Amino acid sequence: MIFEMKDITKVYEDGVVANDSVSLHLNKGEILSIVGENGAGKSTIMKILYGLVKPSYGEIYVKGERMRFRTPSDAMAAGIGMVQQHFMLFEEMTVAENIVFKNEIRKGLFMDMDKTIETVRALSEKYSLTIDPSARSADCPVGLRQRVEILKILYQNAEIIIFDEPSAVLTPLEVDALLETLKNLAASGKSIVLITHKLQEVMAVSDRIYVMRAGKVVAERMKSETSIEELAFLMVGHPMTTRQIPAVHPGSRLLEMKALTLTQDGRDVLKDISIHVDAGEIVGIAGVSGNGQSELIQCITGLCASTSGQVLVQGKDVTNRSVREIRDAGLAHISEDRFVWGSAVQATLEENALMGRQDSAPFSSHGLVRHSTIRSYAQKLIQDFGVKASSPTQKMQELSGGNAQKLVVAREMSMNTPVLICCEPTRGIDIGAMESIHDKLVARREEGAAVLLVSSELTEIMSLSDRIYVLYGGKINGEFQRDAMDDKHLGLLMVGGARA
Amino acid sequence: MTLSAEYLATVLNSTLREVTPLLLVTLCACVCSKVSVFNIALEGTLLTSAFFAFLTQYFTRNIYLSVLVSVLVAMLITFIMAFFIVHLNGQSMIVGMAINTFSLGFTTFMLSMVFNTKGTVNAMTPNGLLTGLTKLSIPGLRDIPIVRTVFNNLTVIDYLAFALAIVTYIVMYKTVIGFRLRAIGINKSAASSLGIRVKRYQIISTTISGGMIGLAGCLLTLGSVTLFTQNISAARGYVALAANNLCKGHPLGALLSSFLFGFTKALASVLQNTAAKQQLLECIPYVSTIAAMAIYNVIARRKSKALS
Ligand SMILES: Nc1ncnc2c1ncn2[C@@H]1O[C@H](COP(=O)(O)OP(=O)(O)OP(=O)(O)O)[C@@H](O)[C@H]1O
Ligand SMILES: [Mg+2]
Repeated sequence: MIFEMKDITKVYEDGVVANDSVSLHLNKGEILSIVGENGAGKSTIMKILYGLVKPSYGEIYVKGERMRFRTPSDAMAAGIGMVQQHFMLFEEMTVAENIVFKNEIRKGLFMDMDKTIETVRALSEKYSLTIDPSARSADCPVGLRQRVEILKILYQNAEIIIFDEPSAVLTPLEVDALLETLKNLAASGKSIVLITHKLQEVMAVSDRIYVMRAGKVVAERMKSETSIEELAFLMVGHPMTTRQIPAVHPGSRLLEMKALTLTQDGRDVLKDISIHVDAGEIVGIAGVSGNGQSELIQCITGLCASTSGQVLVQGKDVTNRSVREIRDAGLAHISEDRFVWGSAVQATLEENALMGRQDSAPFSSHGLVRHSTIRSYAQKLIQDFGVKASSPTQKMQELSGGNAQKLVVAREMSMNTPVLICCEPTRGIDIGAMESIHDKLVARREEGAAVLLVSSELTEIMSLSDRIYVLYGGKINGEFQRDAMDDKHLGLLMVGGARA
Repeated sequence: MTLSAEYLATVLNSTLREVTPLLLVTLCACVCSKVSVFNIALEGTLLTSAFFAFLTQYFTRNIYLSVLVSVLVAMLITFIMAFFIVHLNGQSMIVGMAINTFSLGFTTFMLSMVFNTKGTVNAMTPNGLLTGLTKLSIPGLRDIPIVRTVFNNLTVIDYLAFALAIVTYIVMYKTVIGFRLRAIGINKSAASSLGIRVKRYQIISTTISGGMIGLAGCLLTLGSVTLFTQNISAARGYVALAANNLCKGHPLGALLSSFLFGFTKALASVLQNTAAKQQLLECIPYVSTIAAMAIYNVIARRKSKALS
């Protein structure tokens, strides 16, 4: 047993019980997964182990020795490292510099850069985590940046490595590489804790699994004794249903792009995109991340100016208009990154619920906002979408990742616009809440809304969409109707294969 | 007025004397900006330390003590600035303006208290004649005619200023401490998540760099001329901010950018003896600051566009 946490309870200042006498342990060389609903307390229990959050009660033992961590450096000294969901890198510095920070290789008072690069290269070879030590970390893609984070921890000689939703931001190929890395690390004697919502990943790599619900550990399973279905049942407390989507006849054209092109750095990031979404349709954009999805959405929603082509919302030309004008034309947008575009972390839930509608009735009149209306509206959103929060005046950053996502989804969906753009609507959301968001999307479709769905989860796209466009290298590389969907063919088109 | 080599040498000489105080303040600004402390108290710090350099010399006639006091005063003020901004999370704009406004009022008040004037005290004080920093005359240089003019009247601190630019560069870019400081400036939370006491690093580094403003203060009051005038710093602190912006916090770049601003200042004073309007001349350094910033930003933007 490399570490053990006994009866850990955590009560946050506002009285939220995030962990309720949680006991868990990890064996050497093991990969342990923790799964559970949003707000179940997964991140909190691991932040306690890493010294970021202080437990209210309970004891931590590392290799049989009682520990009291006040800061992450205490935890690090005890051999515990954590790859956080939001990377902590010095962007303008090189990969090597990032890795050695705090334990620099020195020559007297000076940095020994040659030796630093050499050491980092040796380390990356030892764990077969290929990186270029002298590349600027800002220039590395997400998968590599995550690798830098892992190497940083390995450089500190950590024996226990915690990953909090590491795959949420990765492309499918990068996910495969990450899972491979996890296995290699465990094989080399490191012990690993993995928090994730993706049960396939759990089944692919872990040895043992804890299921958490409402702050408690409700089940412990060996991988060999369980299945995705059982884990899903344990997480949400009821069996999952399979969705039947009733056929709807598409109505008028609500969203249309005509030969949309975006040229950046002399390269066509988007080329001649002509697609449309009609009333009563969910249209999915399938594709490996980084093939123009983000840019396409940014061009539609006014976050980025397109080079040529047109965007029409309800027949009105809104090409390269301001976000305000585009939204006023009848469009709402669940953005790809909840914290970059979707919300203000320092603002309260109430304020976040209001954003975008602050100067329209019934939330304000004559330039003054109406607090009571906003409060009850926020409360309604929180209830309808099952956001776990203690009060509407709480700050956004106090929510668990998935609950923050739910609030953003709630706000955009409740605008009841004819056109709804959803990017990764269920990123970081547990499978139970995912079902309910999917139900709501289907309901909006039945009411006659046009939904454009972008997701890196192929299953999500396949199960919801009436029609799918495949995006590859900034071009549309195929289109499918619901009844003609075939995941093999789709997969082929996504990597640039020829159309049938 | 004829454009002789000797005349150009004079211009270069007064440029050098304008550059060095500016360079010292810019170096402090470089360090502060590298650790992401926005220090606009440079102006007030410079003014107060200049005053104390003069005051100490007036009372003690000990030039070493004067330099020491001036440096300590500058470090103290910079420490107060950093403590309020870093430790107490104050707004840097407000803290900086408070220090600047206070400094102007305080020195003006003290001037009238001690010297009974609201304008200028020159070397000939009621207490007798004050002497400033010794002018160095370097054996090889003083024999070559034009070169002699260029390096005329420079003090140890003037030479030290250039040396400090190099030292600051080495400390910030080659040593382990400098590496950590720059890292902190780039991402505070990443540094603290690795167990670095970020605030301590910020406060100590800015305070030490503040000492350089003290040296600049000595140059203003005890350098090429020995005198104190109300508001003697004359916006050099703000110009240093601009110079720092131009060199992006790089100490070697600071040599260039402060040279540019020092030159325009010198130009303004050299042209005083010509027909040009005095008020217009006094604009030169400030107008050129704005122009330099504008040109620089346009070029930078073009470059980043061309790159992408
Ligand atoms: N800083 C905080 N202040 C107050 N409450 C908090 C804070 N951080 C988290 N919480 C609350 O503690 C509970 C558990 O949060 P935690 O982040 O551990 O959930 P999680 O299991 O990681 O969920 P997710 O899957 O959504 O990331 C949530 O109800 C959350 O609102
Ligand atoms: Mg979490």
